[in-house]
Amino acid sequence: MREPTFLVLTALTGGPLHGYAVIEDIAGMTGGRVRLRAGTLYAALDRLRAEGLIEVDREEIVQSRLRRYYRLTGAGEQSLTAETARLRAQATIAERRLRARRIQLGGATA
Amino acid sequence: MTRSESRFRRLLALYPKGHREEYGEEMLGVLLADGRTGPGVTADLVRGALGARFRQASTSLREALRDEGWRHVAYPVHFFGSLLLLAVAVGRFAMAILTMVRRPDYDISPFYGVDLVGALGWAVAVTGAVLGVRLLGVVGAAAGLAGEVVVPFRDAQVLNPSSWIIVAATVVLIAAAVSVRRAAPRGWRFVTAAGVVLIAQGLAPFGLHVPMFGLVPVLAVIAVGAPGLGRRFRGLIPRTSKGA
Repeated sequence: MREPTFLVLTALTGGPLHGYAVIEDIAGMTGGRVRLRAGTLYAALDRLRAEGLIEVDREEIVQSRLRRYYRLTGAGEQSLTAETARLRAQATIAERRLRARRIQLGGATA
Repeated sequence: MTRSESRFRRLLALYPKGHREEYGEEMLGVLLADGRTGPGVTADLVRGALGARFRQASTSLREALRDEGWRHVAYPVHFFGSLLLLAVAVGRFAMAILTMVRRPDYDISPFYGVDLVGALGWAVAVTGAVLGVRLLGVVGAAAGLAGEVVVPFRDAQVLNPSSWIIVAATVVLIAAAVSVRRAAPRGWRFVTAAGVVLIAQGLAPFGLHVPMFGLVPVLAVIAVGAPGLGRRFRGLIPRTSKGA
């Protein structure tokens, strides 16, 4: 799963959001590191809808413009759970190896 | 309409129609709320539009391949193509046997081995087409194609226009993999008769290349085809699509 897809699913875990709110939420949770652009966001939203991982919650007209809210589906929640477990397992391996490396280097310099 | 809005609208026009209808206004709202402009936004929208067009094209292609009509069109290609290539392979095999009979001192065993595999492969492919068994068609066509690929390496000094045969064999293999046989393909008698003529011509090096021999399959074509033709001309007021 690519990072924008992961982040969009994570943003929608908190509840239904419209497109711009997804951008803001992702920017907030990544400390401003990731600020998706509209083209990337809607490519991800379209693909996730086609895969049944998200769906349209409701539509509103705000200042004569369409605002559509998206929500996570059951399949989306499962997919995000699986991806989170995969990333956690990888991070654990990396942490363990880094710890071992530090111990090794510490022993060598001592 | 502001300058930014008209610029975004021009960029959004790059997206396919379906995508524009679904997300166009929504994306415009997000672009205006976001406020970012510049080459980064332009590149992002161009990339998004190209991606959407590519996804749409690949979806259309998948739907077209799922369409039974294409599979029915592939069937005559499989059937007649296998017959044609069988005729070519039989001709080569006959030539090898003839050479073996005329020159017993000359070892040509590698020649007829490859030709025999090719001829048997295409015979199996034809059988698969007739019976409507896809696996037979594919296995036979694959064996036939393998034979055709080997031939040019072997026949370095023998006249052999094999490149088009390899292309044709590949097309027939693909057709065999996707074709679906209809209950009674139209004009199957003509196709079978034409195949008989072709295979008979392939056997001509046997020394049977005499006018009477060539005449027999031609008469067979006429005999088989004439009733169908007659019915077609007479049946300008058709009631049902019976027969062929």
